[in-house]
Amino acid sequence: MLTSQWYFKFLAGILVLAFFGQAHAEEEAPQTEERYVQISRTDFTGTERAINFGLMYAGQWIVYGITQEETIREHGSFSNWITNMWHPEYDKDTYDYNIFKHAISGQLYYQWYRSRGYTEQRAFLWSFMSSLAFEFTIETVTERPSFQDMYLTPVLGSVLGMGMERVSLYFHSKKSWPYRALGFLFNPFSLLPDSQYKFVAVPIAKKDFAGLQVSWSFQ
Amino acid sequence: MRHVIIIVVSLLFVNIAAAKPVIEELEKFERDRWSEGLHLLVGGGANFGVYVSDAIHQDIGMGPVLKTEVGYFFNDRLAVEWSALIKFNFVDSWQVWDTLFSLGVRYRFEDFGGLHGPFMRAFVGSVVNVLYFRGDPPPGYADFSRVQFEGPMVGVGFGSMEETEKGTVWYWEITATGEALERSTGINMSADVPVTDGQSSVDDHSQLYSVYFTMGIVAF
Repeated sequence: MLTSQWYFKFLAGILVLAFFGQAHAEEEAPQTEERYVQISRTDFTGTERAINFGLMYAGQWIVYGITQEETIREHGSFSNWITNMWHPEYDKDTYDYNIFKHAISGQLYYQWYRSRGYTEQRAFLWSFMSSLAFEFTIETVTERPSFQDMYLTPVLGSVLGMGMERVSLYFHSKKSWPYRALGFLFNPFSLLPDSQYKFVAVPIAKKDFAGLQVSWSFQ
Repeated sequence: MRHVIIIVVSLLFVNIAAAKPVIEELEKFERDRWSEGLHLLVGGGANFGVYVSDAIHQDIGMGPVLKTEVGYFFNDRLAVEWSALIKFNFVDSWQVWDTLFSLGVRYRFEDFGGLHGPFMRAFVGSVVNVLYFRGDPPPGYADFSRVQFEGPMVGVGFGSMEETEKGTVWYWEITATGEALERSTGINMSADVPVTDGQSSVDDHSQLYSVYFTMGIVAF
């Protein structure tokens, strides 16, 4: 049954939230110019870069261990882990793996680095590094590094991540709870308390006063 | 004075670092003035292909294509690119999933013929062409659910960039590729794991020629 498929339920859930979001947005239409945006920075220290990459790397090991437990038990070995990394190849996976599942993984890499404050270019480059790290030092437990994955994961992932981020920012800017829920759904990393997703400051100028009003919304 | 106090108190609760503008201001990429650095282009469209071998000449029809290019732009005219073309075609009961990975160059010409950002691309690389059998498999692959062909490819493209009122740069491109299918691997699935019979060479001069029309944007 088509209706039993998870993505139909997922789509139905989004539509319901969007409906309630629209209803609330009409009641709570924001009167300000506040917009929810990603605020990039380029002044990362080497330690910050290492921590961001390291946290992602640790996450990759954990997710791989959980999702591939059976495959690791049947096909994995320490010997594979060492020798496979020197023999990359064109893998024999199906297109739903190579295109869709890897794009979804890649967009999580991209959104993680964006949530840390990286520019689009730098988030892409660090996604590429995380993808290489996964291919050459994690997945080698069970298989050889894949040329397709080295390209498709960060590139399609970044493209998908950019789209998801824009959708998430749009929903967050609506400021009603169902829309905010959709914003978190499309970009879970905007949930992190120290993410670089904020409401922008609105510059103001009056006759008797000039300055910067900083708007702040607690999530 | 009251305003100053309010601002100072407000600032205590605000992450000032987060409100900093991007320090590294990126030069804007324009259709007829490319900015130096890393750029990602993504687009989609349609492809039309013909398969040729010693024994067969087969039209594989029209199908969708997804195209991405990661380019480093040296200057206003020249870039090197790492690209992928992903396309699908349907022939009788077979489905063709073709991925072309390439390295190439992109060069921008002076405007001509009403085109404001004409460019040309040339690229070489390798291809992974997978044939899914939804019905009868081709001769020699009766025991498999699909076969993966690999080999070299070359391609050229010509197009032009345009710009929307909001400043988004988009492009159209006509591309042609030729690929030689030199090696094949029969594949079956065991649970989620592909099981192969080892790689063998294809010696009937199998080649696939394709023409594409794509439109896309400069994502960054």
